[in-house]
Amino acid sequence: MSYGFQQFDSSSDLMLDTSTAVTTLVKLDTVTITLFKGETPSDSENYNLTGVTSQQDLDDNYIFAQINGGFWSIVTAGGGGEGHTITYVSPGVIKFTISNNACYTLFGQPTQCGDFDLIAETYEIYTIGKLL
Amino acid sequence: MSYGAQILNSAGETVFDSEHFVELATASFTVVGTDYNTTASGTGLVSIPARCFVDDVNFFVTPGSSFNLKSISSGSYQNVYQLAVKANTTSFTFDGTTYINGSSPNTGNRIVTATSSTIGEVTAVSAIIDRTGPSGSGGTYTQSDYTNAYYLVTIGTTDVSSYRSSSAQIYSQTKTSYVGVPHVWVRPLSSSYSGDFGLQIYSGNKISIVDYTNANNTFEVIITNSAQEFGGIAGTSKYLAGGITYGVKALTATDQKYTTSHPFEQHTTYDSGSYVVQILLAKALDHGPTNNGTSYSYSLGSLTTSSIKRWCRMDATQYYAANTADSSYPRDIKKMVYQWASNNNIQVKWRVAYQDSTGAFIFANYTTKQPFAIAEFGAGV
Repeated sequence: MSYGFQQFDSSSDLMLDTSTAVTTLVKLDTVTITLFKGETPSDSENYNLTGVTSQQDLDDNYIFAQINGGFWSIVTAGGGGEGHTITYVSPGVIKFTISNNACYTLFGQPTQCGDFDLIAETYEIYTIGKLL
Repeated sequence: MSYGAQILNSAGETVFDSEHFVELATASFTVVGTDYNTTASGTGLVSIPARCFVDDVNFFVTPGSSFNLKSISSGSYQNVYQLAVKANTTSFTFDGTTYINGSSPNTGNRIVTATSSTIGEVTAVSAIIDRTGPSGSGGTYTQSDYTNAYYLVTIGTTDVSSYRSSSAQIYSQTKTSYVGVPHVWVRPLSSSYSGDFGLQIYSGNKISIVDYTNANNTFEVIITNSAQEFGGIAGTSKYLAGGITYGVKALTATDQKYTTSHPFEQHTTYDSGSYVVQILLAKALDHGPTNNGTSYSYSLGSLTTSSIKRWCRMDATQYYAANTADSSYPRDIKKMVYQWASNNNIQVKWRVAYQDSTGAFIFANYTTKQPFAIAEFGAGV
């Protein structure tokens, strides 16, 4: 290599070479988004996301790791967890929208939503291949 | 960024810097694949190491509650690690009734003297001893007599018998802990493997890999954490690349904290002592415009031919979704899995996770997009 940063492990294997287009997973933020059910239009919240340029860019170059309840919580593992819908709005701005806007009784029957019908989700936000 | 180190790649993109945390490997092991619709056990069920939950990042809040030691006969102790702590009484009134409780140091809290000298960390607290009552009277007033009440508080394996004769106050410092979020990367051990696999999580922080080939193949696993969490792990077992006394380490300014109780400190953003996640392909995927049964595949993009091992980010394959194309019971509950044809050909597809005959299934995790990704950790991994 003629420039950049190379890194080797204790077995002299090349671990990292910045003279290529190598892209790491870089954490931007940990954020909790609380949205309420039963509102018209559906409850949503904008969020400033560094460097995002399009919906395609959002899908391919950002990772939202849903960690509410603890990733390893038995409550979250498998069945639980209702993520918010995440969409591109404009350069540098995305929007979280509640994905499940309906409320149900314990027996699964539709019911009126109340003040306590909300979904709070915590995400670790990672980006790939951006100049920060 | 306005200070510190910044390393860019050939395209001018950030590889790591002094402000943002990359994801670093913190553990690696193998697991034998479990057949679909089978409960994992033995070598097919592996615990994530405790360090990956950063269980040793603790902070003791000061000042804590004060307690008094109680003089009891030496025969009332079970061992030299115990102190007799007087029960402090606390009370609260709810709906006209006053409730009184005795309080003691909690397990995990730290005991210190009035001069802030650490005695040790509480590992066990007995049930209350010598409380009598209720001795109070008067309508709804509920009261017990705590005059002689005490707890036997165990301080790990520290001999605390010399403190027992002291009449001085001691203090309890509340411990606040940080819980890390590990991520799971998996690949088949055999270079000739071809098939589908997904992640299954069990209680006790255990995982298995569902191997749809029904051939009990062995899978390699790498656990990653953010560099911030990597830096908070004590000990040297996290240094998978061998670099402990040499290499490159990047730190933030003194503006980070693990919990609101922690003081501001410098946190690790990069450490050459372990392997960094290097993303090749990533895609956020959901049901798609139509809820495609259980036979639909999704492309993550094209991989170049390489002998360096590729790894699949498994976190999103733990989830389930109802197969709405299946209207009769037992109904298919499906999940996204990785479809591995070779090291250079990896996709994502739906597979049946299990069959639900009760109709009790409520949640559908893939109504929103979940992240899938292929990565390398360098030539040595």
